[in-house]
Amino acid sequence: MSTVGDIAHKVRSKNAGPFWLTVDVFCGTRDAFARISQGLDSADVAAALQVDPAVLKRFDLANLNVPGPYTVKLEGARRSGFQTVSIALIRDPRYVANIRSWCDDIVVKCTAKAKARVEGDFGIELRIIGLDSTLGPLDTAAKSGTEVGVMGIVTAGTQALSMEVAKMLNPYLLHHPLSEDEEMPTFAFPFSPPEMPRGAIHEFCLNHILSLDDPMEAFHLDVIEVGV
Amino acid sequence: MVRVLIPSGALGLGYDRAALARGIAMRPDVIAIDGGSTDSGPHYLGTGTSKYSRNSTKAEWRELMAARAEAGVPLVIGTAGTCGADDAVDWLLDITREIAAETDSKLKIAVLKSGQDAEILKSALKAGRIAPLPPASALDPDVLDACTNIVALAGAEQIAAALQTGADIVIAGRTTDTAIIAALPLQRGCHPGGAWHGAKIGECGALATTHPNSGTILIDFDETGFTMQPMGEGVRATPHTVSAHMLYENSDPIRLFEPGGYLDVSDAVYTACDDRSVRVEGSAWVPGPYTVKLEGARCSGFQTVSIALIRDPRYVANIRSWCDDIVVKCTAKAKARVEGDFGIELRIIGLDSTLGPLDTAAKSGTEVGVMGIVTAGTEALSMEVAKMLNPYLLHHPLSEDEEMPTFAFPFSPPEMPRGAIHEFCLNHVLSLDDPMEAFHLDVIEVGV
Repeated sequence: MSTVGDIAHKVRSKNAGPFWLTVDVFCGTRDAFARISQGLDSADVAAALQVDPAVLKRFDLANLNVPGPYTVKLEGARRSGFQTVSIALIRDPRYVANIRSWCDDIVVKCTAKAKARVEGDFGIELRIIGLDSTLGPLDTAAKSGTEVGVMGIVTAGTQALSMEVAKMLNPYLLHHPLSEDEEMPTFAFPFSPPEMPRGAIHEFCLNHILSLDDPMEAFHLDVIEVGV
Repeated sequence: MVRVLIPSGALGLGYDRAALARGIAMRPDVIAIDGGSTDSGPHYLGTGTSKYSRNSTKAEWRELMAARAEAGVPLVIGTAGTCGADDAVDWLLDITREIAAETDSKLKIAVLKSGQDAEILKSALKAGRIAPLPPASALDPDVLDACTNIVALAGAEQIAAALQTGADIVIAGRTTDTAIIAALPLQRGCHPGGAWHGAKIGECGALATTHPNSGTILIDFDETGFTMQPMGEGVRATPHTVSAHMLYENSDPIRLFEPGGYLDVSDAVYTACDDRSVRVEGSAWVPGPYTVKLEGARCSGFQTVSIALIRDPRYVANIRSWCDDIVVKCTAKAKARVEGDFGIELRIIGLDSTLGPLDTAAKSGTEVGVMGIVTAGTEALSMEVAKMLNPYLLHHPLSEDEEMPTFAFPFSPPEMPRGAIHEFCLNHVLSLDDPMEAFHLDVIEVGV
């Protein structure tokens, strides 16, 4: 079976603002356009990207039209929390081979401990650099080498809480054993302290347009002369 | 006989609650726990802060304070707040006051501070009272001025002085790991070689047993030696696990230097009492001049860290030359655009970021992370150069003849400020005429 890449001239992907990912298929010929627009099943695209088919938008375009009233797009960002990041490096082959369950166990145990010891909401995420930290479960062919990095990301409502929970995560990243019946392992921190405060994190929260009667109505223009 | 209960290797590391309860039921004379180490690096001494979370420390310290109240004996912590600097001692004292208030407890607290004044040490240096330990060389007085914190490691004498106040709780700044355990047995006339040797075996709690995570152990000291037994269910101490701990983190397997002398275990004999406890006799204490070790840390720059994730197989296969090319090009660009010294290092996570070139069998998988570390004299310069590194990590091509690639940042901005970084800069001993001369002891009563 041919892939889209075999038939099309080029396939490219880019984010379209904060909320959408585009996949542009440039067909090159009318024949290729016909084969892809008729042969490519949207459900298969949704399945490959692991998204709900209902949110997939598809445009089979032979040409472009650009009309409309005068509107400007609005962008806005708001604070969505505070983050602290810690990294540990793992080389022990048994730990590298079982890194996913090691991480899962740490998230469960550290979350329970922190819930008992702090007030306020927080989230702990561990990503495995050198395996699938880029794509997560979407990376179905991920394979690690002789080393992985485990990156802990603690998100909370304040920087202090995020750092406090990251400090609770510290001994797990440094010393958590795969089982109770083995000597306490010690892994490597690339530096000490491993905790790096990312400060406030933000999210885009507008995806709207504003109608204008006059294009300058929503803008402010100033002229400054220097060196006079 | 003096019975010492050691709840765990360090406050904040956790322990088996049932093992601690069993230990309390054994009616110890003192409960001793370590609060720190230099193992976690110079940041903590440099900043006078604790490695462990305040809430975790408070949760465990509350349990130990309750155990102490039940046992009715003193609770001693050495090297409080990871580094044992005066600020870290005050931090734990604040936590102790909070717990005392919350539990409506009446307590006498002895606070031993180990912080050292640079001016006083400069006078001592002039007077020939500071000597280097290998591999350090003679001390430059400017180094003392540059330190953000200097501590001296207290020995058994200073802990004994704190216990003699009749305190319920002793919060000590920097001490040797062993001093908090050896102090009471020595004070009560137990065998000095046995006291120091037992203290060394017990300093990491259950690390000298078959189950390190169980934490709690009990040591009985007497006129001829010591006997060690773990408190965890099914946990065993054997001549193998006990003798192995004498070698643990010691630069000399036979001798352990302490303020006022050294322990010599050449003639020590380890005997199994049963299948879970061990008796040790024959260790010797060799008295010497009274010196205390100095530790100091100073700021050595500021760092910013950025991470990019690479999955393209051709880039993963050529990741080393990609990184080398970026370091050369970005360094040249930044040198032309900023004033001041800086350094750019790229480490390849998922290949050999742990050991670097020492890892001769490193092999990558389908993904690597490239971690950029920019070090400079100020936070602002470090961030400025890291921002120049940003487009390289995101878009640098392997050759000029290919489309511009885009890699993944795990988050944006990728730049994470690590703030000031520190280095240890003292490895010297200070001679004292009186053990208390370089230390400060206060007694505080709370809840009265």
